[in-house]
Amino acid sequence: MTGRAQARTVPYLFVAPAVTLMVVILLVPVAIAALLSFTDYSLGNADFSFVGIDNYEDIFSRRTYAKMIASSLIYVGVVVPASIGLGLGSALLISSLRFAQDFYKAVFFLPTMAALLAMAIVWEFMLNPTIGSVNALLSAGCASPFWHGLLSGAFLGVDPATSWYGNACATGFPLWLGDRAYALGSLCFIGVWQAFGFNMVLYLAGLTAIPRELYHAAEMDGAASAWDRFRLVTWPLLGPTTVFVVTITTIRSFQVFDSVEALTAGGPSKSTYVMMYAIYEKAIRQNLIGIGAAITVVFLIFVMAVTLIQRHYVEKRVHYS
Amino acid sequence: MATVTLRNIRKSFGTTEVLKGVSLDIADGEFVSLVGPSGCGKSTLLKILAGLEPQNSGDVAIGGRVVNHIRPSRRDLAMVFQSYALYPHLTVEENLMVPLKLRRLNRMERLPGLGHLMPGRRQKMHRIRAVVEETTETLKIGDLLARKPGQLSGGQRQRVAVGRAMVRKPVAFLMDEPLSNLDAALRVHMRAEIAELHRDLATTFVYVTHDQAEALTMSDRIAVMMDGEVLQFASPDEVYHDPADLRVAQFIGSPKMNTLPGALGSGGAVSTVGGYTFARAFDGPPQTVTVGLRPEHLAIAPKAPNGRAIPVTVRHKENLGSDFFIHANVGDTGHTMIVRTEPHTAQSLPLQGAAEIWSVEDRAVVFSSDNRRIYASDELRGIGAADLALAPAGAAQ
Ligand SMILES: Nc1ncnc2c1ncn2[C@@H]1O[C@H](COP(=O)(O)OP(=O)(O)OP(=O)(O)O)[C@@H](O)[C@H]1O
Ligand SMILES: [Mg+2]
Repeated sequence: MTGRAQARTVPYLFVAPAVTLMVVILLVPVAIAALLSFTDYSLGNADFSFVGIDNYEDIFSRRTYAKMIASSLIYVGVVVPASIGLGLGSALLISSLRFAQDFYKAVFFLPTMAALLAMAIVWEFMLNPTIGSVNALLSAGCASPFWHGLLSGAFLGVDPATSWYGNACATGFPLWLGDRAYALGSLCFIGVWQAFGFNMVLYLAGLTAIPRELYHAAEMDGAASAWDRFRLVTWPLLGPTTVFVVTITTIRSFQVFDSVEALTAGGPSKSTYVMMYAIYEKAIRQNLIGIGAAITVVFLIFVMAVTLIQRHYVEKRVHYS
Repeated sequence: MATVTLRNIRKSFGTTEVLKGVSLDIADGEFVSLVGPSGCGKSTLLKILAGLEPQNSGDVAIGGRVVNHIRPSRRDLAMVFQSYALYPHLTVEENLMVPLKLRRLNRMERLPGLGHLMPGRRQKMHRIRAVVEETTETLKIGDLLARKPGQLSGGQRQRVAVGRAMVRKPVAFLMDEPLSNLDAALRVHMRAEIAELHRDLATTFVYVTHDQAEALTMSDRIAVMMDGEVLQFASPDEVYHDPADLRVAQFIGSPKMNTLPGALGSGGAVSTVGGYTFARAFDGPPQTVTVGLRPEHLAIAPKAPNGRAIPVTVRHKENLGSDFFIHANVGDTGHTMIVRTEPHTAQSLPLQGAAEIWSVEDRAVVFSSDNRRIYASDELRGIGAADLALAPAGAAQ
């Protein structure tokens, strides 16, 4: 080799190991999944055939998969704004405390630290229709005229039977995880309960990075109310944090699996059949790798879309230098 | 425009007392500097005046009205922060509009989106834009309006910060070391601009700095602070020529005032190292004292003309072009002195050679061991002494 040619190849040799690893570990699996999504492959079968876009057609035509996409989107649509709102709210409240900050931080962060699968057992017990504490508490309220009046709205002169609580007192409380109308909502609640502590910690970090002098400047400029200061300083300066929190929470919500597996297994009547659970059920339990791979690809497209949207529309607007 | 009065302000952070009873009476339209070494409590005092930090005791009055319990936004002051504290997400124009929007638009008109539908908002915004335009013209930042603070140089940011304080026509300006982040040339330039701004607006200025040159060149009066106390509050000339306290004398002036140990004998005679005795008589009982001698009030030569002199060894000659500063050791006492002299005298002094220093016209300031001033019998105290002073050439360095 001439010195010149060597000088040209050596840099490539240096980056080759890193690039090889990246391709083999990160890109090849995705490519394989994409490829498999056009086949009817199942694990252990020697032969398989290409089925074109059949798997995708299934996803976008069969009712089960329509439910799958709907329940995933609903879950994301509820958990993301609720956990971010609560996370920001609690971060603002905690950062305004003079003492006991660490106590509240630890308490709110607990659900995030504890494995969701482990906590699911507790929720399963609490939401149990017969022995669970949730329904026990709710029905205890029915007997007390004060709570019944307050919760059913009877104190406002409303007919108790028309309110949710008054009605439930008469006809029985929901089965929660066993009820098609309540299962997804219950999972959303648990999802929010688990995620907001994490968002709170991120927001607390974002808040400490805001220079105190900006609040002083806002005060001198006439921002007398807390809302004015929030609009003028806190919210804009939390912009980069918010972008990060939204992205992370969205991706994590799309990935919800453990609480579904532990509590509802996608039921009742597929009302909590989220994408991750569908992939698991098709590809792993039923060994239909082709359709599982197709759902995986759709899933990746959703996540990519979220990431691209945040890059294009938001990131440019929240970094100020 | 308003007077600003601080009465016996005390402030502690935990157990450390940062301000130990500070009182200042600032006249309407006056330019007052707070100077002092780092950590002496200047910023804290300014924040208390603004209302951003509560005092432990004492009163703040603006325009004769005690404002202790009035929140900062209602005190109608404007502040320029050391770090400028511009809103990083807003353009220069929006930054300048913030104080006006917050004060002139009502709650509904400030709502995002919906506010634009409110009747009357357009006229108000029109007037706000006019004020902003006027301000940007004064400060020559008209071509920066669309930029964000992150895209500005330090000097430009400083102007925007001043502009944001100016748009509102506050009753007083508070500035916390606004020039400390700028390079030397820009600092001199901005110094002149702020002084000019003060002349134009004729508003009360309270200006914090630890740079004594800034204080001396810009102020009507200087408050020299140290360890949470105001040691002297007087005109620049008075602070320079007639310091009330040894620490003031040492802080103000560059190079520093020479200080030598001395003794005040019976009959008022003051003597210092090498048996040098001043011809003037000083008022006070016999005691040990500190004698302060400004470099420009001393003379040096290989041999003193009248024999009365401090013998020294020349250690170093500092050439400033027009002048020399001679650094010399006083015998083997360990004291060093700095003397200002003309270039041709400096040339006659060999390094490491012997020389003699004497005081021109006995211009010595004498301090007792508790740092208080001891006046000469023929000296006017506190007032007017500065008028007697001749060329204050070294004052502005
Ligand atoms: N929030 C605070 N908590 C505790 N101590 C403080 C606080 N703010 C200031 N201090 C202390 O008070 C003293 C005075 O601080 P201040 O900021 O007023 O000094 P300064 O004169 O402005 O100094 P510089 O010239 O360095 O800006 C310092 O010793 C500082 O450590
Ligand atoms: Mg300071």
